[in-house]
Amino acid sequence: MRIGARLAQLRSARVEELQKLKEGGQKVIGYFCLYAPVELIRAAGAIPVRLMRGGSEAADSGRRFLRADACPFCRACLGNFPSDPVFRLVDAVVAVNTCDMMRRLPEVIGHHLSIPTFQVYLSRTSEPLPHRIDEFRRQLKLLADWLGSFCGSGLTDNSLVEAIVVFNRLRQGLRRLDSLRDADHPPISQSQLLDIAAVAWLLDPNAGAELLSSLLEHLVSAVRPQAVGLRPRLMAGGSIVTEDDRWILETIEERALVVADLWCTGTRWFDSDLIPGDEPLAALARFYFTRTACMCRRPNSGLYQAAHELIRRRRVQGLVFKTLLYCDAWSFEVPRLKAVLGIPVLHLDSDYSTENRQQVRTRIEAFLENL
Amino acid sequence: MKDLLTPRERFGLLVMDEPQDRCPVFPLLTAAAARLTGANLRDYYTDGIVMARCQLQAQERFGTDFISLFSEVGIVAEALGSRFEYPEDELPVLSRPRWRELPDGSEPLAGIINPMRDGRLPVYWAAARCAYEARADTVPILAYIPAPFTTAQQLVDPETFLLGLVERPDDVKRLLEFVTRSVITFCRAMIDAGALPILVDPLASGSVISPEDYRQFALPYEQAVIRFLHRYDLDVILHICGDTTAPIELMADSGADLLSIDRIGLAEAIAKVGDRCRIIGNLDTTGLWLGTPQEVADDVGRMTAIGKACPKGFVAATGCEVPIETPAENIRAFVTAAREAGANHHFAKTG
Amino acid sequence: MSRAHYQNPPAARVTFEEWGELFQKIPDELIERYHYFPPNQESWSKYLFPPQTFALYGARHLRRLKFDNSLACLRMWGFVQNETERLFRARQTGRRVIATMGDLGALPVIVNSFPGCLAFYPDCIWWTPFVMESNVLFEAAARLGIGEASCFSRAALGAFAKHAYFPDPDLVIAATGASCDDYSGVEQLVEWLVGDVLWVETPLRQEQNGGAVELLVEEYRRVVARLEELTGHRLTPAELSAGISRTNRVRRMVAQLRKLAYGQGVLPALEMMVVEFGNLHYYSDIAEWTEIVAHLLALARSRVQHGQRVLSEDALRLVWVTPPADPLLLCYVEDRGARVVGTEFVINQALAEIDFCSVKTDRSDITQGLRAIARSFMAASLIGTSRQRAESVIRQAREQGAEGIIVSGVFGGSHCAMESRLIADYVREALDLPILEFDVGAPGPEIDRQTLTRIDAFLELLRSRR
Repeated sequence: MRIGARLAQLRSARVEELQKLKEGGQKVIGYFCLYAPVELIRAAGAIPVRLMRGGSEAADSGRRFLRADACPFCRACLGNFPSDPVFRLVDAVVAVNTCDMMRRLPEVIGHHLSIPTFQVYLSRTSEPLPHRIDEFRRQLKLLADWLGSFCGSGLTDNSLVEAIVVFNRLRQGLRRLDSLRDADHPPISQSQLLDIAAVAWLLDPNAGAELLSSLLEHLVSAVRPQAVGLRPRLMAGGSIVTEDDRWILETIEERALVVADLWCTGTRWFDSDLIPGDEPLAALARFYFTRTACMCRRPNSGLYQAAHELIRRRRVQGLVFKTLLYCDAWSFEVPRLKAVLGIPVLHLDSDYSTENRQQVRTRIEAFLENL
Repeated sequence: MKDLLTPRERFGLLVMDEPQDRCPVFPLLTAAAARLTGANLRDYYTDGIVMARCQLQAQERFGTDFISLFSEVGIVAEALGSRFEYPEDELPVLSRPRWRELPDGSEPLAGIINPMRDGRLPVYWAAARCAYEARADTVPILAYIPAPFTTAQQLVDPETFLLGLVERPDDVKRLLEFVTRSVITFCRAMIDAGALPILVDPLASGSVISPEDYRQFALPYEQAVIRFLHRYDLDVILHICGDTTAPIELMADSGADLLSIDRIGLAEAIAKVGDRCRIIGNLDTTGLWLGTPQEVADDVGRMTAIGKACPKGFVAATGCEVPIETPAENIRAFVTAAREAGANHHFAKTG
Repeated sequence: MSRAHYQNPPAARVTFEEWGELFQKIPDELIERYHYFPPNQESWSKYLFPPQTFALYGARHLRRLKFDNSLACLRMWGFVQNETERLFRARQTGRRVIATMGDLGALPVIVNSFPGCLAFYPDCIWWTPFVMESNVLFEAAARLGIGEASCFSRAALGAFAKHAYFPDPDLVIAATGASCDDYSGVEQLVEWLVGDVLWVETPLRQEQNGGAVELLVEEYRRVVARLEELTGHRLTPAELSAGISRTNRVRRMVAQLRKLAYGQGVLPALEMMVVEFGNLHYYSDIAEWTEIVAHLLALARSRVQHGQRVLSEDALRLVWVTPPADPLLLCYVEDRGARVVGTEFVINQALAEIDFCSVKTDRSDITQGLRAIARSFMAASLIGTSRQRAESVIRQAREQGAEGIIVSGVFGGSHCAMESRLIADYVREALDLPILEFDVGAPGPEIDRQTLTRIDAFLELLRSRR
């Protein structure tokens, strides 16, 4: 079976399964970004599902609640709650205070959609100072208590360690797939990786890890047509990317390879493991606090270092930088990226509307021709 | 190369005694702006909108740091009753001073000009408003105001007036006091319109009068006008063309914040007053008019290298108004050379 | 010398030209009297100059505004417009100039407690493009990455790039966190420009806030340590305490002024906005600003005593949410027969006094002072929910009997985009009051036609509800 079809089948089966689990009394907790500690949600006996859908119709629908100049992803999230099968399953939302839009989203969700929300405060400043990490640990404790009471279950160190272990397995699986992109002729594309990761996250992490193992085996052993010449090797980066932006990747991949990414729905979610140590909650706090920084954290030099490292390791020749309209954290950095990365940068700034696709295609083609 | 700063920002730093990205560049492009932009000269000084348009175009075209609203030094005298002729495509000419003889004590010197009505003062007002609305956020708008001494010399037959310095000094002073009130009134109108008054007193130059006469008859009235401008905290430029070697220190005593000089050794002027005033100067305008662009560039380079050493700051300028027939390429050569020679490569480190 | 040299005319709002006339009557002695950085008396430090002076140096919008016609307000305007020069003179006279970015309240209290240090807010440069009717700073910001469709505070980035609006600071302290994304982006690019920034965390206000105050105390300790390193001076508890007292004196007077101005219409909204924002950084000279606020307060009291209003008792009463970058908007609503009776200008954290008196424990180290500042900061407008901002609006509207609410915003401004509508919803649910929401247009000589029409229609609606 082709990977895409298999993923689609797994996805729809998982939605049905979630519905049944929900009917059985388990809570489905939606979360938004890579700073949300999924381990805690699982350890509390709930099912974490990442809310990662954009979409033109959903974003338009979200305009009932937010102005046109609000983050298109936030607007789409609001629009997706009544329509998307995963969003519809959500009993409560855990959000992390990262960018301004994301931190204000829970209040809008709570007010307009009457869905319970919990806001975790994560220091915007990224220097890992003890008092900041302590405060984040306190936040995680508050979340744990809230989850315990919301889900009606106790959260123990053991359950937390179990969750850490299974999510580490998931991360390791994704890292192995990602590392295939070191090759001159990678057997996996960025769009495939995006789809695989999305489904792996939706599945129970144990099932996700198994899926990843089998896919790895399949990709490594598959006989590929003889590659013709070398194609430009690109890195992708920018605001959150979901399957709704897949068309951009496909356009790029018609002529080039995307061999690295800086996306929160990509490599940054799985680029390291969480070591539980003696105090799992403290380890959780340190792990999430110090993971490869989102561009919105201050200073964001960690992300630049990660970019430099990827450029070197994956022999990257150009950056496709896709931002969402009004996404300040990422779009403000374009001249700086151009100045410091030392590779050509193509900046694409758009929302989920479908009208400008031809124009984007032309710009991508021109960029690739110039590489 | 594109500038980091606008002329407005650059001038702001200069008058706050701060380093700039480069020294401001200021060929005194007054009526020459009309020729350079293809306007009729008489239209330039009789229609404020034309004056403003010529100045705006010239500033943009040559990349200078100021807009210069000026035609000639007779405007206040004209508003006070002297007659001027307006030849086609030439600058105005004094045809009949208000007084043949110096008015004596028996004649009351009352009344004051109305800048909205008298002579061509409304032309200046309109030009200032127009230039201000168009570009005052980025470029300082300068309105050249003839100082009392220069104005008085066009209210009375000039020779009689100069004789009066010796023979009837009290009547001269009485006349100067009268004129000063009108000059201040005109200054206020220009301030209200948004233009920074630059006081010009060419007839008080060392080429015309002695330092002692300057001290007695020009300086006190320059000081009075400058005191008025300082009430507003304005940075005042005093421009005297011709030879000012002798009165240069007296010029600094006027209270002016910037001295615009002509025929005097630049290094000498800096040595004498460069710790009190910013110096604006002083390329020979004959060379600018008749020289080749390369000669102009060389002269400007040498001048700017000396001027940059002025402790209070320096503006690379011409010593006098740019002659009307000056070729555009020479002005361009001036500006380019001054920008290059005046560049401050330490800016932002020292700023 | 007494102020009797100059008698204020009957209270009124006057045009630019009218102030030009009034200025002719100001005696030279008064111009000579006021100097910034007291007790300094250098001639460069005078500031009692009319709007004409600043208009001539490029502040073109002053020509379109209306001003209070009192000497106290002229003094205030001269001082405020003079800030760029003041900052450069500060550096020239050996003071340390510290840029405090983003927190809008607490950092200058600490900085100003250090002898010879002076805090300023680059943030407040967001008014400069409007005052100058100029895109120069926005263009400079755009070249560095921040273009249109983001908050006007991007002007601060342009100013850093220019080196012409304030001296290169001895230290840049950038607060970020639960505040505004646009400005956080500005701060990040400022770090890129200047190479070194001290980042300070701004925590989120939650129901259980205990950790946030202690986190702030630790952050403030870092600020103190850095300033001690910079100055070679160890901050004493007495110095910090004196710094808090100086801050509180201003905040106390401003609170009284707000009560008089918004309650009894004795000062226009524009001057009051300038006063409120003075609580952030005292326009870079707390000593002289304190005297100016005292002068304004004396004026307001005298006007109340003599029944001299600048705004009619009959005027439509408005609460204004988010400060308008274009000051002309405040003048316009007053011209159309309304007055502002309450504000939520995202600076709550700077409006209330720092409660230091009730701290009973040991004052021998600076922790108590820092904790008091931190507690006070936790009232900040932007660090909590939109509901909390809305509650402040609702409370003021009830107290002052407001008849309408204006929410002005910035297109592309991150918190405006997310919370303008929410605030309006909350207010609507609590009060039966019309609400006008609009985004402030680009800098220019006029308010755009559409906004004018909407304001006119809104005020008409309020009038019809009487």
